[in-house]
This record gives sequence, structure tokens and C-alpha cells, in this order.
Amino acid sequence: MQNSKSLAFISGLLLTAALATAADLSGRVTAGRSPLAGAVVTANLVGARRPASVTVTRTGKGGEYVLRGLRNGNYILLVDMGGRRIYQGRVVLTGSTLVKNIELR
Amino acid sequence: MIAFLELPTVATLGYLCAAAGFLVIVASVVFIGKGKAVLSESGAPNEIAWGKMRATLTSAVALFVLGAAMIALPFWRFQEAEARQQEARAQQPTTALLTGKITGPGGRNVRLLLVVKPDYDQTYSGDIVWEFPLVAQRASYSVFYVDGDTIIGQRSFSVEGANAGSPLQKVALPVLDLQTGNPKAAAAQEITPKREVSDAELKELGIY
Repeated sequence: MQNSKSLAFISGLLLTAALATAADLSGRVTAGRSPLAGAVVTANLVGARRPASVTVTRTGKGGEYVLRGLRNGNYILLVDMGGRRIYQGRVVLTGSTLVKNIELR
Repeated sequence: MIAFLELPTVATLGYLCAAAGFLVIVASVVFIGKGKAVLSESGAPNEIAWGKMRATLTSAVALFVLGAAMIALPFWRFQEAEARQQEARAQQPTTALLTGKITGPGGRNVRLLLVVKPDYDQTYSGDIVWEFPLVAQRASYSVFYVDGDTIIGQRSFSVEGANAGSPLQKVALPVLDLQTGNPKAAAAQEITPKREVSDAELKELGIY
């Protein structure tokens, strides 16, 4: 009985820790103030052991994108459209959310 | 005893064969030891007599040879089987383990294609005229359109005759105009790329 309580407590702590470190990266990609729909947004977590993690999404009609459940850390953010790299930058995720708007010309 | 019964049939027969061969040799030695088999002064084979059993010395030698052969036979067969197993092991291809992590858009699964570095790799702009050898018994093929490191399109097609001697198969790919036919590609061409991280740094990080 005592063991079950301890196990449940530890599981709860681990779950809380996992939820606390998961972060969302969102933003909007625009070109000349117009939303860029259908662009491929890739977040590459830069870790000691490469490649650490790659998360990909597409921008919506309004140019918006959301990458959920990312681990905190340094990311290389890439935006591709029509087979062409149009943005490459760096973001640092430390909290639970980060908004990164990308404005292109 | 139980361990002996658990042996494969072939191994059991091998052991029995060797044991029988050993007994035959022992018997032939006993024949000679008891003086039942001796050579005459002329060197002609004497008769071997033991109770009702009668044979010549030649038979005793033959018994010895037979026993030796019965011992050698299982070892010879075992060596053959071992050589076959080693050959089979040598022919097994080495495997590689590919690991990584990817999260698809909207949590969807991402299709991964693993191909050997292709023998047929050409670059075109404008008309495509590409004659290539078909792989025997393979009728389905795919063409991937690659721009840099990004796959920007894929077309699959099938041929009707992939056997030797079949006539030239003609396949017409649909027109793919990435400059004007794809509005996204056209829009992307007008955008000035923004590089807050250099290409060299990306390459150093192993990101393409």
C-alpha cells in the first residue's frame, strides 16, 4: 500500500515535470505584410547529440503556425516554401510559450 | 541419458555410427589378440575362427577399415554441415540501424522512404528525355522531383513489360511548371530570403 502511494507520487512528479518542460512555439509568417500560407516551418532542436529533435508544421491560411509540445532549448527555425528556403533563424525556448513572428519582404 | 535423447536425429545417428565403428575396431583387435587372426609364413591370409564365426584375415582388415570409416563418416558429415552453415552466415547481409525523431504536421505520421543512392540521377530543365534500364520483374516506379535537399514533387508510373526482350516502354510525365504553375513556388521566388543563421553554421550543426 505504502509502495503504491510512493509510486503514484513519483509518477505525479514526473508528469508535472514533463508538462512543465513542454512548450509551444507559435507565430505568423508574412511576406510584404501578406500572410504566407502553406509554408513549411521546421524547428530543429540543437542538442549535444545531433540531431536532437525535428518538428515540422505548415502555416495556415493566415500565415499562422503552432509547434506544440517542444522541449526547452535552442532551436534553429527554418521556413521553406515551394522548395525554397526563405527563412533561417534561431530561437531559444525557456518558458511554456514563445511567439516568433517572421516578417519577410 | 536424457540429454542424449534430446539430440537431433542426425547427431544421434552420428554418435551411434561412431560408437559402432569403435566396437568393430575393438572386435578386430580382439580377433588378432586372441590369435584368431594370424599371418602364415608365406604371408597368405589365415582363417579367422571364433566359435561358429569363420573368416579370413582379409575380412578382419576389412572390419578394421569399416570401423574406421564408420568413425570418420559422422565427423566428415559434421564438417560439411559446419561449412554450409558458415557459408550461409557469410551470405547474410549486414544490417544498419537508423534512428531519429520527427513530428509531422498536425501530429500526422510522416512517410519515410529509404533508398539506396540511386544509379539513375539526372537534372533537367525543359524537356525530359531519359532512357533507363528497367529492373527485371519490376513494373512500378516513382520519379522524385528534388530541389536542393527538398522533395517538391513525386510521380509514380508503371510499365507493362519489364522482361528481357520487351520493347521500349514510353512513359509521359505530366507537365510540372514550378515557376508559373505552382503559385506557392512563384510566390516564394519573389521573397527575399532572410538568414539570421548562416548556411555554414547550419551545415556545422548538421541541418540542411
